[in-house]
Amino acid sequence: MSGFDPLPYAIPLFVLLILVEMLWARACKRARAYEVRDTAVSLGLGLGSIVAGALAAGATGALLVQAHDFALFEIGWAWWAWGLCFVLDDLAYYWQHRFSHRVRWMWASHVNHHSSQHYNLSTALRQTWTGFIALNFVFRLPLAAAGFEPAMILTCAGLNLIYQFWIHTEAIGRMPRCFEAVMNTPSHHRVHHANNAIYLDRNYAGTFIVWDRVFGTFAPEEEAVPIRYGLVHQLGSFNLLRAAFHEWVAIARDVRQAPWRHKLSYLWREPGWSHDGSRETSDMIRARTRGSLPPST
Amino acid sequence: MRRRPSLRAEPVDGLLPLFGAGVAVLALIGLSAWLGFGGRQSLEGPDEALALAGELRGFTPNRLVLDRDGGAALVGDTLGRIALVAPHGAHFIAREIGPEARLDRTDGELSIAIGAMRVILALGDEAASWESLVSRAIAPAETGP
Repeated sequence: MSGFDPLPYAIPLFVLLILVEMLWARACKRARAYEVRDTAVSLGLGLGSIVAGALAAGATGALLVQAHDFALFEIGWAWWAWGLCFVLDDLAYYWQHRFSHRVRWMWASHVNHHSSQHYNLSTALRQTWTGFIALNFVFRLPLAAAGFEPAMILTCAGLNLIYQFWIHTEAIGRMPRCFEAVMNTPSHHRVHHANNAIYLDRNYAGTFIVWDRVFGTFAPEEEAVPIRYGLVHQLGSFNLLRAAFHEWVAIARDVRQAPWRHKLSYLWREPGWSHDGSRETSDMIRARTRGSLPPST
Repeated sequence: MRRRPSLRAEPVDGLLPLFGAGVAVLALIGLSAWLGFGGRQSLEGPDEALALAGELRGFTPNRLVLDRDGGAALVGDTLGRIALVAPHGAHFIAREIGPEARLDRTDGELSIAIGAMRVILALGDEAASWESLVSRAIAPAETGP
């Protein structure tokens, strides 16, 4: 048995669709849809993530195999296992993604996916270089411990990531209502990338938006609220290394400067938390602006 | 006895896909430049500058001046704070002006630098009054009331 990573085979499709979206943006005179330096950073991060992923693949695979040693069931390669694995892997992704927004150690790895002020298909490739350090793999260990084959889990994770590519676009408005009800879509994911207070920390889904509906983190895209993309405090840089590592550097600075009893909190508390209340978390921003938001439709 | 799975990562024929992806990345960056996605944009108007400044914590805008070409703006708030709305690629970002900022004025233009970001605003007759406001934001203890 060997691991099958579907991602490399999808790269030509990614390139083609980015090309099509660029031409669409040009034809529709959407001058802000792309920016050459932003695109370079996004694609550079994507290229680097391939290398980082390859470097971490061995360790991730070994950990999944170790977890599989304790498997409750011997599921094997039954045909139905693929569908079940994909759905449960998507549930695992939901929680990994949610923690990535709520725990600063994990946010440091994920933030670069959100640091663009643009929302286009190149943004989808703005992937982390430090996912293994952030412990993202932990959320998939229960699948292996339940009995799913490690290679099946990694293949499903790759397919999940491929699904998420096409939802990073403004070129598609809304899909049919039944599709929007179940699946993650461009409309749902635009909300996730918005820095408007009303949209912060919403729509964590990978493939199935139902997880957000079930766990209370769903927000629909409101016609009356023009979306602004990026971070609450915009990065303001097109430096590739800064995009990849700026939050790790910020954590190190905060831990160094914080009083001893607060140092660890800068690792595990939510982004924006500070021991002296000098910064704002997403919850604080939402609370501050709640009174000025338009009513939900 | 349960069979122990092996997991052998199979890079897709070594470095070839990575090389191909690198070539594709360079091609897309080149295409993006060729299609004209870049260069300085203008603010859509005062509302965009006010909205960006209003995202700063506790910032309630009460005055604004746009650069002559709409390429940047200064926004003041009720507490005497000043936000610089500066271009960043095709978009804009807001930064509060504090002690780390540097300010120069020449012939109706203000030059403001915050870290690596430096913006020149053509403000005409309003340059002098905004210079005073920005100076107070940079050094409130020295020039404040």
